[in-house]
Amino acid sequence: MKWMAASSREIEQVYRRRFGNFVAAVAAIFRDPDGAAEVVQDGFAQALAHRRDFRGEGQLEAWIWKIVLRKAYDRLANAVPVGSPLEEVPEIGVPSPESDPALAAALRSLAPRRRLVVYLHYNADLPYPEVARICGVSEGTVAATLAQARSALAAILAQQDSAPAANARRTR
Amino acid sequence: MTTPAVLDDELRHRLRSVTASPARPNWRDVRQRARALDAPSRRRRRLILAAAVVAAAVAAPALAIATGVIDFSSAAPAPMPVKMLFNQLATLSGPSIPGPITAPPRLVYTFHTSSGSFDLAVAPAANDGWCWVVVGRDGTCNTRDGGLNYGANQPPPVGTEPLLIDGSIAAAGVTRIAITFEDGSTLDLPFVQVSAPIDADFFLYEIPANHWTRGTRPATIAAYNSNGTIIGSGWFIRERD
Repeated sequence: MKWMAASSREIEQVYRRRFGNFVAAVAAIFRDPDGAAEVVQDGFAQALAHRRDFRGEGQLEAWIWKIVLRKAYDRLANAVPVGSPLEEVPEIGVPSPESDPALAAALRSLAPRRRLVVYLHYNADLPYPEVARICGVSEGTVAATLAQARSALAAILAQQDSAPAANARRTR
Repeated sequence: MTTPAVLDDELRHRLRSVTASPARPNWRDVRQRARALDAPSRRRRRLILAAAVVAAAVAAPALAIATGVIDFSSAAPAPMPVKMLFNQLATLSGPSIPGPITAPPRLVYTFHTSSGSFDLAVAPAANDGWCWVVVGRDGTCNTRDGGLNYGANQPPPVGTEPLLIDGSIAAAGVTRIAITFEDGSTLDLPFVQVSAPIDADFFLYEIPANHWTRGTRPATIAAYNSNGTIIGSGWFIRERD
């Protein structure tokens, strides 16, 4: 049975329990650690102001996630001037190569929507059903996406593991 | 060979290490921002209210379209699952929440729309208030001086369901409840009145699909008495266009 009427107390509970996860995931998805907290604050404020719109379809946290993600996309869109060259538009969900080249390469091998799945699961600690609900995909797609992410990372890690060994052989 | 569990840990660690944030939670700030979101809407409501009063003054007296008064005391008791929903309402807090219910809820009416039928259950609450649930949809509570309490879902393409608007207001001589759309057209909503100790009007209406898109959507809602005076009103909040 569906149920609406999220109370401010319920929203506050989600906020206090999960603030760190929200900020971490938004920071990762949008490569904006400084702006992430701002987006999360705005998102929760909107959820609080519009709490009567919550229709009880799924978990309250998933509903808030959708609001926060929409805020984050809006912020990104506003930050990029119209007509910017494509290479200047930040690639959603890919860390800068300087911070972690292997991770950046692994994530770049995934489509943007699939990167979102990765972050919602690993950074936000959301279970498969909630990730599926937020992204509008099936749980099977979530599972397949995470398997693909693991596979990409495993391949890159294997390359990293073999590279130092090769160097070591050369120095002998 | 690296197992999926190890890769999970590795991924989680590396993802978090590149996006660490020193931010700390600040719920007070969230509440202030939420209030700021409300502020422009309140200004807008006053403006719209003034315009609506002028319109009402020049219009012919509105016809009452209430579909009748329902006797609360003779209505069927609500089944246990619905009673449990009323218990959940007790967890709500805020200025529009009167307090706990003071008598068991009863099923007083069934709204019929093209997308389905919805049972209305109501119960009297403390401080002369009442709580109500549209089964399978939503529920809330009202105080007698709380004005028009209404809600609407986001229709497609944002939402997934037809646009349904429901609400309640203390009876107090309400003879007309009407929606004004963004294109200036209006629609009178049928409503039902439930007798004492509820003494309130209720409505649920499915807005036609030709009023789901920008420029045609519901803009304001108002309840009028027989003199055409607005005794409760509001506006519809929506996401940024």
